[in-house]
Amino acid sequence: MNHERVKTLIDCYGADTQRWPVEERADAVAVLMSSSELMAYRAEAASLDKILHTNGSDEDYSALADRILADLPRQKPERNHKSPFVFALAASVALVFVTTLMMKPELTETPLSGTQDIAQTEFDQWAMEETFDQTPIAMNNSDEVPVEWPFMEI
Amino acid sequence: MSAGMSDEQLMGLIGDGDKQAFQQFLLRHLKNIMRFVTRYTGKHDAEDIAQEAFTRVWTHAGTWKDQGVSPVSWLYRVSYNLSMDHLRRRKPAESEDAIAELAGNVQMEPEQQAINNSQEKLLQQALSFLPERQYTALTLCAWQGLSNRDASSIMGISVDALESLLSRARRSLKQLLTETKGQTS
Repeated sequence: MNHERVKTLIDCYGADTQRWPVEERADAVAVLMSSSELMAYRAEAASLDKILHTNGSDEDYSALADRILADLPRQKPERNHKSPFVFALAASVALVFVTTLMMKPELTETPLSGTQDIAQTEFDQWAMEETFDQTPIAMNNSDEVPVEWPFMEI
Repeated sequence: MSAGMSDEQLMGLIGDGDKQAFQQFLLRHLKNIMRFVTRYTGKHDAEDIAQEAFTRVWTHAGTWKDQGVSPVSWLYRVSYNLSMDHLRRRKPAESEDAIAELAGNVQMEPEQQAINNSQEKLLQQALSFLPERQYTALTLCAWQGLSNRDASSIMGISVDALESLLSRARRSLKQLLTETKGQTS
């Protein structure tokens, strides 16, 4: 806690230390008490506090309170917990789902991987032809760089 | 029922449909909520807004959970949002009337004019010139006595942003009060 923070607290919350944030209050008051400059700064803020806390007329709201109580609607029936019916319904749906999966194992199998690979290879070739307007250069396993790279012509 | 019950305890009972608990909560906070809302809307509309806010406490108390936001912060947030909705729906002319009423600038009888010079009226006049966010921050912290965390939560801003608003509000108010005093003397 430093002087600047105490000044900020006075600027924000006023001269009454009871209005300062509780987690900073003790440290701030200790710093305040040790500085005459801060005490003077606080005294200046107190004059605005005095005006701010000028109370207006103390109105009686008992008629309004009676009206609010008289007009209260019915409360919503549900609270935080769900009704047993909701749990029973959810459990039934889950049971039907699991039973269906167990009776039709083919639904859980993965598609034929060979077909997928062929499709992927054909697609790659088609994409290369479309992109470079020629068949892709056959790559061998050697480290030799092809004579012409298709994309170098662009 | 103990009168010393916390708001959180009362909310639990209200959620179970306890009207006595609701009445206690209502009587504890109605005056401050009315003061808070009246500054935005004028007295007549403030009563309707306060009624709506407390009715929501009654109907939604069962779903309220203690997750770091106190029931009173929740009540202020509902009241604040209802007030802002009300101001947005209001016709501009009506809003100007409300501001004039708030500032104490409406046509008055001579004896009322004398009262107009009182410190309270000067304060009201100065407050009416504060930007809405500064005004709300000041109201929640200075008059309603809410903590900085509760006030910032109600306004949906950080504590740092709240402190910035508070600091500017107090500085502006001080300047406005000095100017208003100078004009009336």
